[in-house]
Amino acid sequence: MKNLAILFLCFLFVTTLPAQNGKFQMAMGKALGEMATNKGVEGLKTSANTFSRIASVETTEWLPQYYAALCHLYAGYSIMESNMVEAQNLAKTALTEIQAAQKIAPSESELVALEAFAYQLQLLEDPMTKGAEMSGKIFATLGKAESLNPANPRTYYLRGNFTLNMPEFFGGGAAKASPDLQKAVAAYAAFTPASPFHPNWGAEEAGELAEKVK
Amino acid sequence: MKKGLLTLVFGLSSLFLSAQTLVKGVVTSTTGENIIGANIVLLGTYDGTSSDLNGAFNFYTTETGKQVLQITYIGCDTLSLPVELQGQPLEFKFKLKETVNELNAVTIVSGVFEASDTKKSVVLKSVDIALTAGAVADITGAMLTLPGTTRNPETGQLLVRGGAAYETRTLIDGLYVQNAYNSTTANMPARNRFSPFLFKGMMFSSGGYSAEYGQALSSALILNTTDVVGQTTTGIQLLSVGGGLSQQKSWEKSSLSVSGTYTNLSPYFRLIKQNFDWKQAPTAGNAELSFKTKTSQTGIFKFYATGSSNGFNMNVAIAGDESQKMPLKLSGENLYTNASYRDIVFKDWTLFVGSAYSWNRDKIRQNFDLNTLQQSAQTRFSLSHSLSEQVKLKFGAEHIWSLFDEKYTEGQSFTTLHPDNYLAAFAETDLSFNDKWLARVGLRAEHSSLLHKGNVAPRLSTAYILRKGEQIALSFGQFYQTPEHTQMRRSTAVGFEQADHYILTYQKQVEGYVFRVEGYYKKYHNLLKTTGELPDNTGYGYARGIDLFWRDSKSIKNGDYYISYSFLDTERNYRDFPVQAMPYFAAKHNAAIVYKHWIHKLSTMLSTTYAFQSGRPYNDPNTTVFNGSRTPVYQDLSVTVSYITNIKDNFTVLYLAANNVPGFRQVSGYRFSNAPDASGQYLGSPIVPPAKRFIFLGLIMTIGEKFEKNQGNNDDI
Repeated sequence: MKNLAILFLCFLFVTTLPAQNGKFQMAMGKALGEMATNKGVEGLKTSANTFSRIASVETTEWLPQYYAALCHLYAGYSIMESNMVEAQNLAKTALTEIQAAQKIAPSESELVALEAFAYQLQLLEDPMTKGAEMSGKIFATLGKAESLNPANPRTYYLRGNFTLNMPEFFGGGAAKASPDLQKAVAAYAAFTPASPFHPNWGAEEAGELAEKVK
Repeated sequence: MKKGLLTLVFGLSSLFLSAQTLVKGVVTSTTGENIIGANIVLLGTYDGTSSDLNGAFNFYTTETGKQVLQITYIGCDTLSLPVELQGQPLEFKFKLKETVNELNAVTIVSGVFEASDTKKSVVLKSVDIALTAGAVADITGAMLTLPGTTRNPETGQLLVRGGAAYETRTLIDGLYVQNAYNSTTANMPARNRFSPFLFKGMMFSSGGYSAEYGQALSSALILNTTDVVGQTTTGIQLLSVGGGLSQQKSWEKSSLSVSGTYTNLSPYFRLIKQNFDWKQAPTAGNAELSFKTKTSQTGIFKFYATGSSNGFNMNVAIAGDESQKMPLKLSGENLYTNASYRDIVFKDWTLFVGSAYSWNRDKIRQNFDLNTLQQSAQTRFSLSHSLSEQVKLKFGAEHIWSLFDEKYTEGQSFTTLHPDNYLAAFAETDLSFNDKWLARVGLRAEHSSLLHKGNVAPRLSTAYILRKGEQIALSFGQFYQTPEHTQMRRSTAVGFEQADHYILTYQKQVEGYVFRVEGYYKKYHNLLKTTGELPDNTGYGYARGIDLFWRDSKSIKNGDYYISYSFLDTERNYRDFPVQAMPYFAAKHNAAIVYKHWIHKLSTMLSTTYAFQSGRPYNDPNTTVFNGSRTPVYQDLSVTVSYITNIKDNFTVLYLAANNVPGFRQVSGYRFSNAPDASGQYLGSPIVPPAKRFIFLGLIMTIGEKFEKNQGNNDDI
């Protein structure tokens, strides 16, 4: 009978304790898989929902919120042309998610870089009025992301991309964007994500842009 | 034994498996449309799903007992529902309500044109004001393209819905501006003292404004200054008529800017022929200082001061005989300071405290001497609080000390000295009966020590949303104003002038388009009459009309236009009018078309304004009907071209502005000789602008780190 009790306890131990962590790994793996296959705005929103659900349980992990925000931003950028109001709602939601994640990981460069990516979407609502103020904010935020982790390639990619799309009279254009994009390519080559779940996107796009502005 | 244990373990796990509960249902909006992509989650668990293209969802959960099901969707209020999971399938129909935000919330639009960079529901942006052709970055000039206004090119002032110029008051951050225009006389148009770039938002009320403000019979122009600016920059302005320098410095929580401008029209006048005989062309100097600091997460303190001096000297032609001239010299000095503090106190009360001081001295030398000194000091506070979702409350009080000191000398001297202590209190409440219906009820009480009189003015507005983006609004209000000091020289034993406003508005706003139609009736009582021995309040009048506004910023790629039209029917019997008549400052038909086009390839903004106005009344002493004659139709076509570039990485705007490009003859009225000639005729001279056209060339360069990239160490942003 004593054996039985011990066995039962062991059973409980093995099924519950690692399950906590394993469940997170499994859920993230599944969600990231879905994110790669989900198509269109609705697909991205569905993925964002999945990450939000993980985030609501895993209150000490910043990655679920990061990906929820990333999906919302991708959705926002793709819907922007047809529905700017919705795109701005998505940008706002993404920023709320980023802020929530920053409470967990206050000095995470990836989150700060993503924050700048959200500001870029906000700027696009009305570049005439928001351009001057928001571009300053975007460069400052990317500067902060760079100082937190100079090895984060997404900082250079986002800055290069933003500079490229900025009008020349504001100090943008291909020539101005080139140094950041070359830097991005080098940083991507040297980059290894901390885990399979950590951000690891943008290398291909950065490479293409770097070629374009050469 | 072992076998028994395994059976037990498997038995237990199969028990768990069989305890799965199916949760399914459908999510729609309150109007019945399927909501795609709503997030359905069993709180605190990984279980949940998203709604599909039909708004439908289903998922299995192994959780049991009492749980909370939550449905979230961007732009809708979150729904939470306690559920009991026992294994039996659960089915739900959820209706999500759209979150009330500034885009769909009911706000009172009647009588108000708002320009803002931060709010989304507005009709205009601040940049629209600065870029309006014909305005040359003058706030008043831009406002004159909106419905409800009438142009008086000879004064350059803002006249609203049959009201005289003094019936419109300008406020900066809730505080009155005593002299909103620079000093002028003799049909030289004035400019608003304040640059549109100082402000992040403006509210132009053409009637029925809130109980928060008073002392304006017709209209309030409410300007809100920008908050702390984030950049350190230097600005250089080179203009064909002068130049300016500005320096802006920003710290973690504060910013300071100082600037100075100087204009002198004499080089320009030498190039372009003028209708006026100048001895000294208009010159003006201006200095400005502005400091802003965030006192807390929510609090801000602002200080603004500006000082200016302007003047000119010319020979004015005698009415009826252009060959005879009389010298006229004007000089004006002005100082305006404004300090305000706003924060959230006691958890959820918004406190505003402000104070302003104005000092203005004008000297006119003609065949008489007129020296005028005006001063005013204002203090004000207001508190606002949301009692509940449905009821918002705002109240406050203000005190204005003012002094009007005038000395007129023509052989003999006459002095007028009017000190006044004006006290006012107001309370206003916003009542939301539901998502679609809002009412604002306000009351304002005032007292003036100069007049020894007080008044109580009720204000009432209500708005109702018919459909998304479509609303009707109704406003009523009583408005009082102390008569102009220049009309009370002989006696101050008079009362407030009064106007009652009734306004009905319909507005439709969908992305990229705005349509608005507004009908109004304004009744004037107790206007000052000066035909008797002493002034009295026996004057009266009315104004009624229809204002139309249409804006389309969507149909034309990179283009944006608006059309405004106002029909105005007004008559009054006031001041020295012998009978009730249409006043000289009103016009029956007023229209403007403003078009802006961005040419991407050339980095150029093209802006053009066409204005039309039917003839204005003037009194011809050769006829028997008072104010029975009409000036010719007024037309203007102005163009502004702004080229944006960078010079050595510094953001630069080069612009060219031209008013009255086709050279329309613009007659604002006629001046007549004081006495008839030998044939018994009074001879008249038309009032025309100083020149047929005005051409202006400018360059504005911003030097600084605005678009610099390497701000890596700036952690506080």
